[in-house]
Amino acid sequence: MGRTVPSITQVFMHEEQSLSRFRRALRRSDQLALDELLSNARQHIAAAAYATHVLPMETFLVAMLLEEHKEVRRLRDEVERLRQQCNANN
Amino acid sequence: MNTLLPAQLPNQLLLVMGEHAASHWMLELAAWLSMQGPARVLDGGNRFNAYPVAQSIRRQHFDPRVALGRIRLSRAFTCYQVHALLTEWPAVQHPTLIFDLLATFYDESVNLPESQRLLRKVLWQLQQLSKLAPVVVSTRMPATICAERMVLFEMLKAQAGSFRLELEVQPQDVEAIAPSQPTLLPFLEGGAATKSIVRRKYG
Amino acid sequence: MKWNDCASNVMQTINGWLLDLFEDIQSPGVVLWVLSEEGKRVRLHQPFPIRFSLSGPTKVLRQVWQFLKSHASPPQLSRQKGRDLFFPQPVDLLVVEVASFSLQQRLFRELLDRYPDLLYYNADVSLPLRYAAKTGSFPLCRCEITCFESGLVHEFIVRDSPWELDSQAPQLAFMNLEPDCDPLHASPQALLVSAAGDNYRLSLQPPRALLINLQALLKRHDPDVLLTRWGDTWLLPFLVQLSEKFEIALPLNREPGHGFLQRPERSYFSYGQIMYSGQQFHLFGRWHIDRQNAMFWSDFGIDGIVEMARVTSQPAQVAARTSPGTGISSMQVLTALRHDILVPWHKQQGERPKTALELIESDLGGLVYQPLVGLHRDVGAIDFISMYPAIMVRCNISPETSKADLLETGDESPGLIPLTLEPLLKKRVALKQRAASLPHWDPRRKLDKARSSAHKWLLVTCFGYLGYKNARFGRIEAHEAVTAGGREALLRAKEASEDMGFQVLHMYVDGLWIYQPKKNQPQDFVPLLDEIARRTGLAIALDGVYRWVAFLPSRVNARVPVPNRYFGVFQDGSLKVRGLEVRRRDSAPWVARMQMDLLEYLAQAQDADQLPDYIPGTMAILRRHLADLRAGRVPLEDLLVALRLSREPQEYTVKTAGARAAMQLQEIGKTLRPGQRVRLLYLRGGEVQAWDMPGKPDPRRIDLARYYELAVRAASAVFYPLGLSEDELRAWLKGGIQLCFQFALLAGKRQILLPPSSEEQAWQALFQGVKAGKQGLLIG
Repeated sequence: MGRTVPSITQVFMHEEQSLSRFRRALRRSDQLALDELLSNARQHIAAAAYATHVLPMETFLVAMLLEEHKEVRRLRDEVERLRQQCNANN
Repeated sequence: MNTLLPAQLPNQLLLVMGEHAASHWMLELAAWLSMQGPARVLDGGNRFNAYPVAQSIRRQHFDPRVALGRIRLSRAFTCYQVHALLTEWPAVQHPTLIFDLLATFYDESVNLPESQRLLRKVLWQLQQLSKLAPVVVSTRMPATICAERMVLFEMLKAQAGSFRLELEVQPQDVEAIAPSQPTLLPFLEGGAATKSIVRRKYG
Repeated sequence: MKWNDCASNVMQTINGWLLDLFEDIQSPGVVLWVLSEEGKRVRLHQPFPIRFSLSGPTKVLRQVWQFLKSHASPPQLSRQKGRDLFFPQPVDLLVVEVASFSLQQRLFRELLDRYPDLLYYNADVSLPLRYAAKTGSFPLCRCEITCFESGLVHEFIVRDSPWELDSQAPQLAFMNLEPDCDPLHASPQALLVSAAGDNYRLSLQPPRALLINLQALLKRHDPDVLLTRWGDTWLLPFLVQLSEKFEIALPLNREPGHGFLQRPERSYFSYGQIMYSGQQFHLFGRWHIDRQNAMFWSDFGIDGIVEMARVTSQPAQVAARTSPGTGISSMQVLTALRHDILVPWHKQQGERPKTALELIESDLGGLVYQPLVGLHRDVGAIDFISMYPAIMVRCNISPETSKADLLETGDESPGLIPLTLEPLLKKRVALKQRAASLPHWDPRRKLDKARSSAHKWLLVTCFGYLGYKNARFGRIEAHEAVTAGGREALLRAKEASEDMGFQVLHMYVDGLWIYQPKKNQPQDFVPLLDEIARRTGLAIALDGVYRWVAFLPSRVNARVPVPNRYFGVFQDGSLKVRGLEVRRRDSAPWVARMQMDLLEYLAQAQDADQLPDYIPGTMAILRRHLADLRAGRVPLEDLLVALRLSREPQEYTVKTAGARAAMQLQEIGKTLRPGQRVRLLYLRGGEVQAWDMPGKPDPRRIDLARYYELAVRAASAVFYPLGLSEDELRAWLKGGIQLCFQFALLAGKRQILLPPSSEEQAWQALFQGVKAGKQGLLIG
């Protein structure tokens, strides 16, 4: 019978496309960062589908934050480990 | 945005036509109407993509959940269903939007005389509805491979109180022109349980 | 069904199996061909009046009554009430009864022309389904028949049901009939016939001798099943034409004096894909099954086809050729007829109104996660058993039942859909359980597997069918309720897994891939399975424990994982592969074989730790295949790719390889329809040649570089999880670099050095003129 509301993947691609002018004007190094953010959001696409938010981009933004926070935590742990190592060496 | 839309819809049958059944305009109209009160939608061609409607409502600083809750819709996948739905629908004072009305009538699994018979009934039903409240119908032309179904479009056009043509540029058409640089991300490295593998090249 | 006894006639009882059933063209009623316990094939006749109903405004019904009373062949008329599933109240009906099926068909069309606005019920139900509804019959049912010597049936009693696990099956007589080559590709010279252990080769020339010999063979063996290849599309039409031309009758039918039923080819849309159904040729009193045209021949063979026919009550010749969607539809119609529910001619009901907000919340499918790409070890794969049908049965989801809470049971009596599915689902589960306990040598294993596979197709389809626009008992809300239940079940399973310490690597609609250190025995998963069953009310089973499994990224974009592209090895050493070339129907057999060889070799590794030891071997296998290609040792047949046409050849704006091959065929008068596959070879200079063109192409024209490309691509999917990228593989194959893998596995660090490939210089000649860039081997 065919879906009426586009699938979450289609919505995601649409949002990605709507950023294309923005992306083009970015410096290459910033483009890379943007691509990584989008790639992070894509990892949670099934959860975003289940969420059925009326404005899915809001969910995608939270998904990006989530991955960013995971990275922050990983780095924090790493810093902590290195600091302890330093202390032990001193 | 609302310069795009009529200030006040009259109680008559307004026909909007476009290559993609003027869906973009219809969705904007649905958004605009839903911020003012209830609206009713019959979707004959899988056109009611609710996301742009929500975005449009949000742009007007209105709560999309509230407004989307005011739109009541039914989808029809065959012309029999279009007819059955219109028969069941009670008469109401608020506007009715019909998306891509002829899509199911253009479907060649129902023969043309039968499609015509049903469309005649549907058009009569729409005339009755339009006496009480605005009725906006969107449509497109039949595909070239079923050109003989053009007669259905003519039937609909003859019943319309006013007519509007939408030149539709779909978002994807714009994207196709937009230049883009390829992604810069490297290959994904394996998942958590992947063993680290170091490669070196010689020579 | 009883008829007045004729005093002069003596009654007899026949025990046997129902082989075929169709309309009697000599006197009104049905013909039954029965295979008796004594091995005789008996033709019987039974009067079988047909009823259908109309409903609408009383005034119009009165007009219809008047019209039918004065009709040339006036039917029996009565007024009754009946139940339309989509209406809360019983509907008033005008019931029309006529003596024969064809009369009913004609009358229905006539009424439809005159009174198109009425609702018609039970008007387009096939004769075998009507008979099945009345008597409980199905193809090859055990039956006990009392009849007169004349063959007139007095009583027809069915003694078994399609839901029994082990029914007593009759010994069917088979005859194989096929041309000596593919008639679309070359002109056959002879027919190969085999029956009862004897093989014959009948030359097509002279035709008279062919006809006489074939006639004799058909008479001598009198087969129940004529098993052909290209029988629908070429062989039987050809034989019939020949027999008419030479006026030598061929007893292809067992029923004397009956014509053949030929159905033209067609293309149609199904589940968003264009499908092609070939021309059909049905026989009477005997089954014709064309192995080339039978939907699932390669999946489950004759046993599966018979099972499909039995559980759907469709004639075997129909079941062999139609989609499982038609099978499900038949089962639903049968349930309706048996429960006195009216079968509408076409569905009228649209969607019950919902708000746009509800639309967003309900219009979505199953949950498809992105797997954690890479190689994983000791992974348990668990699947809900037939999840969607199980949800429909458990939650009583049907067009007429009220909406239950997610995964909850209600106290409403079962609706039409659960009534239809429950016995099928039970039989599937019972066979699954038995499969686990049957020893390897048990002959029932093969039969059970074929039957189980038929059930699976039906059950997979029944969900999609609920949302199909023309499904008579479809309803979009029911379809949505099923997917909502599925999402809930998957999330509850995820929660249970995590609560019990598992890491979820991947989830896909009804299955999960989970990992927990040191849990790699089937019994390690039992507590979790029990817990999931408790939380969802649905049966879930362990598909197996993988020694290792690799989830692959998308071919197009390496940073995007794709949900259904993986391969892995279970603990018993068996491979499971999804989404790779070896599983794709369009892959060249040589490419698929090469990929399978690589996978099978890797599958010998007892443990992921041992994979490094297998790398030199896999590289050697790849090189051996490439050397075969270069040396011309690969037969042309193995290089054929079979591309599916999605539209008419001239409708393609970009002329794809498939479109160009189809146009070649069109020029010599062989038309291909959308949905069909065209087999072709890639030739040098970006050209293609359709395989069904007359004459074989010169092997020297084969575009070896193109096939090299396809092979490397297929191989790189296998090497990816081992840490070798496609670019590196290419570079190594071209020579000049040496690869060193350094694995950090539990067993300790290992180094494997692969020497630079020397053989590859021979390839260089093939690529001359091609710009050597990073992807220097990309051709055409």
